[in-house]
Amino acid sequence: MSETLTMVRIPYQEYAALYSPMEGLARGTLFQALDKPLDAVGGAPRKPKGKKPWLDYLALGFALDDLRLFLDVNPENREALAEYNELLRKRKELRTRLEEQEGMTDVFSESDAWSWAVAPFPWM
Amino acid sequence: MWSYQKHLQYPIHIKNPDARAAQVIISQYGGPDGEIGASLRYLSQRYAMPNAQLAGILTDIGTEELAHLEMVGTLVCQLCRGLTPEQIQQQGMAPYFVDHTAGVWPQAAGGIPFTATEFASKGDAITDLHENLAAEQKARTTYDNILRLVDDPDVVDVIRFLRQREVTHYQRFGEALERLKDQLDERNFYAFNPSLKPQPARRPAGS
Repeated sequence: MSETLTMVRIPYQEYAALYSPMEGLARGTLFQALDKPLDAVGGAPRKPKGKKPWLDYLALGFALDDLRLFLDVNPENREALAEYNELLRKRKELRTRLEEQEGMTDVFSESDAWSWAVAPFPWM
Repeated sequence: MWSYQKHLQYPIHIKNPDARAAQVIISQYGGPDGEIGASLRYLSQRYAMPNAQLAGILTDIGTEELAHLEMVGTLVCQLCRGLTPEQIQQQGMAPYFVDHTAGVWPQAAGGIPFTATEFASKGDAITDLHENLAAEQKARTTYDNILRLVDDPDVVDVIRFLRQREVTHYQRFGEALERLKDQLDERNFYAFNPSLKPQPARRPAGS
């Protein structure tokens, strides 16, 4: 749409130049084009810290969160949808392995021992 | 409805308690441009949106802001963990401690409690999206200021993440506005409120 008086216009972001899920988690965006750090803070963001299966799970979850917002405003983008479904598949696989070690991760987790209000909460 | 996932969106492990940092970071828990205001703003505005796309982006960003609220609460909690009352007092947090001990309560750094007057839900999709563009910028500036005041790398990593999410949300609200404009007449976007059902034209006086 062309520019109009009395109204702002924000250009659409293209579906291009994605970080990996882990890099995206470190930076706070999957999309390089939206990555706008504050100059006063030097250096690239560090890799997030934590146990590997959790970190990989968090990275996939974040990638899905960021892609979801892109798909909400670009529902017709087939490439983004294919990536979303692929990430879902990877996260589902990882979740099974993660829960064997760590117990329930959400209220719909199957388990043979109720760890939900037993194992520590994320801020503890 | 909502259900809970038992992990933070971004991991937080603070090794060095620091009540001074907690005092400024708490503004993103209960301050005028913080995460609870953002979440309530978007989750409240979504009811007046004219289509599923707008309701969807508001629901999803509003939900993400709850996850950010949890991260900020975690920062405040971990930054005050294990401090003695003497240390809390030395680090300037005695006024908060007397009312809340080391608990987490939604207020701004300066002590003003969170209030609904700190956000708008105007019932007009164009207006609400502009409110949201401004809200994301205000949140970004608040995170900028936190980055100017805090230097513990464990805290800085988390704040940089949260700040970048505000920039992303700004872009998404802008795109949502473009999508809404596609459905309106560009000769006059303000001819009617897209969130209201069509209103019959008013009768001229005297008829």
